[in-house]
Amino acid sequence: MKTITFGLGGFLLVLLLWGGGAVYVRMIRTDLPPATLERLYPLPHQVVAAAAELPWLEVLHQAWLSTCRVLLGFCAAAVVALPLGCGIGRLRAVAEGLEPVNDFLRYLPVAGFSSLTIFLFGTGDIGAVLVVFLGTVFHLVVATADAVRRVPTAYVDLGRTMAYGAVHRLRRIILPAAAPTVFDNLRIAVGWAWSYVTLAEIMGIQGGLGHAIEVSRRYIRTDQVLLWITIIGLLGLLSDQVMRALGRRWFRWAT
Amino acid sequence: MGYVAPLAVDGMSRQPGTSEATETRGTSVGRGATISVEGVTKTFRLARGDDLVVFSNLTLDIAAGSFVAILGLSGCGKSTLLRLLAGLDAPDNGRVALGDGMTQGRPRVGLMLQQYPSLPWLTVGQNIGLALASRNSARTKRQVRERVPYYLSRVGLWGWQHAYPRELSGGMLQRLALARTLAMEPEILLLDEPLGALDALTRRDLQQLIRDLHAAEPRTFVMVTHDVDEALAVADRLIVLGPPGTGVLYDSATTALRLDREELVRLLQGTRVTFAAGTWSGYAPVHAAAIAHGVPGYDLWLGMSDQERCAALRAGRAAGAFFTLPALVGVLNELADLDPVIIHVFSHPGASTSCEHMLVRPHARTGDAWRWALPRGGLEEAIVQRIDGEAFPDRVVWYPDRAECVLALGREEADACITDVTFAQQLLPWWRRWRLRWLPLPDTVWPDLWCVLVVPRRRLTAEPEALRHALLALTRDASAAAVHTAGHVQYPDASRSMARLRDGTLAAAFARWGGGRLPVESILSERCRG
Repeated sequence: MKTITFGLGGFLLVLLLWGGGAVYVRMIRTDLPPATLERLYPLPHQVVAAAAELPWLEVLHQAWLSTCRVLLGFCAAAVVALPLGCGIGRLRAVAEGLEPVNDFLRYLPVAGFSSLTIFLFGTGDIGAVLVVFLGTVFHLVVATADAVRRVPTAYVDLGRTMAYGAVHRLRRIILPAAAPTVFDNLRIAVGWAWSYVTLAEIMGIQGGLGHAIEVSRRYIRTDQVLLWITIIGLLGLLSDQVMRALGRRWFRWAT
Repeated sequence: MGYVAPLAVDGMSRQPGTSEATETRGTSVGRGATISVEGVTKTFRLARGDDLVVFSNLTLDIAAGSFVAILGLSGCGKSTLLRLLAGLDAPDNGRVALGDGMTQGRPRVGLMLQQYPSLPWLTVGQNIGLALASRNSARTKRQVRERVPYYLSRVGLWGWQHAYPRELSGGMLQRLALARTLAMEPEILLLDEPLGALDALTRRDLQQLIRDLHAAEPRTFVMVTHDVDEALAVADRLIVLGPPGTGVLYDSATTALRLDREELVRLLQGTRVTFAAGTWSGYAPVHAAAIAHGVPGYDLWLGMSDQERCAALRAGRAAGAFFTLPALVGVLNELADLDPVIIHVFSHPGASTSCEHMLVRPHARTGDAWRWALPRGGLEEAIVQRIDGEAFPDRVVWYPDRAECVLALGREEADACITDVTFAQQLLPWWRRWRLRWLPLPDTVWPDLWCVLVVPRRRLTAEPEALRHALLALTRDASAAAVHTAGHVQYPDASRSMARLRDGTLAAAFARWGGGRLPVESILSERCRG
């Protein structure tokens, strides 16, 4: 009960700051007519009104589009990164060959790539998926390699004394031991994926919530922009909570 | 039960004809496998680039079906030995052979660790099932399921198969680990401090359990522990490992000497003291040189009672022996006819006399096997020889008597003398008055223990004799040579002299000292009263 009260209080505080800030800016900016100011600096109730007039079927469609892109890019990244990370974490040769490259790629700005992908692959889904993929895959490789490396040697030794072969050892011992950490990293990567998909859509990919933000901005509908941002935030939160629940369910032993 | 008469109980008395018994048992479990370690050398590269020799030319035979406890303090290589036996590490040199060579393939080895005894993501039953399945891939899931309760009941965990390891207590976890290890149906069980973290009662229960398991199906058990009581409680044969590089100090199966609990504890403590004293950094070069010259290196018995060491020296079973300073004073008369010589003194910064060990070798005149190892004068003389003449004052001296060193400075016979840090610290009250300063020794083997004490010319005008007395009062851990020449000298114990240093008697006495004659009387009278 107490936490709910405090949580509500936090939200109220944010709304208060927002409203106060908007009113203040409207007061001091005398260079624009009041109607424009109202559009530029909406109050919370205006956003709620915008939500009411929003075509929700359209919203669902956009959200679905973005979600699909996130899922596709993220899954592709996971499919590539998990085996690669395991390889880097367990095999010295693989680590020496791939880790420097990966570390370099990891620091290339994905925002820069997003314009390139649009240029190369057009404004379709492929570009968005590719941006999400590029944004998450290198970090996932590092995180997975780290998790696999941190599996206590004692577990691995246990497997070796049980005369398990390398494949068996990986499947029965190393992967289960590293799984909770890896899954935690996946959960964090989903958060990044949402950021990157929005970025790509703002940069020019057609459709999706980010694109909707861009369109609303073009018509100076600040209230709608804020609404879209909130929706993306809620979707991100939802995916995080889903992952968290799954993690708790699957890896109860690690908590 | 337990460690009664090692030679009789141990596998040596069991004839190697037990394979029929294996057949008649009809199960997949034999009577264990033999372990033979031949000339194994294992070295670890330390972070600072040195090599730590854990084992050098270690040889060990363990009979099938015996229960061996390997005793040693942490860091002596017990766990390394187990890893070698388990096949997790390979030796640098030598051979680790398991089994009698008649049976096909490598015998199965089960390893049980104190930490991470089980896989936390599996239930108790699954943990055991995993071990069962590993043993024979042909087993069906159903067979595995049927065998799991058997092993659970053997260790008293029946009814817990659906629990997760985190729901178990420490003792139950070790039971689970034991069951898991047994489920691998190994011929050799390696237990690495399995009961280290348990309370006394649980530990006793589990000791009994392990003992019973061994009695029921006598596989080869090798248990590593630092607890003498535990080793005595469970094992038939005891092996004591010395500090890294020394190998086996005591093996109840290969020596007629029986050690009781007290003696074992003393033996282990001996390794601890020499560890703490940093002795082994000094011992290792001696040891290496000894091996190079074909001298039996490490039957330098340490940790045994002084009488036993005397006996070993007398019988020629040891090439040398370690004695503490007080002990040496006691036995010197006894050894007089052996013509012993102190060839090496091990000291420790801030140490009391009890920490000071001496390496004594008998028959000094008849053999000079050790001379190449270290110059006659011991460590200090070795250091003098190594000193770079350009970086240090011209005349660096060393005398057997440390006080004599400082006196030599006073007589202007030398510019600097070599001393250990302890002695330098004891001279602290005088540093300013005498304008002492010290330089670290360049690149010696024992940089932390030794330094060069440099005294600028001038001063030290006090009466040499009085100074000498005062220095003697300070240097309770008087030099080895003094002991050697005067075995009956009574050395005041270190704690009392340290206390005198601390309570300020000396500081006060020297504060009153005007640079003329030393207030020797007041110091000496303090000593008499103490």
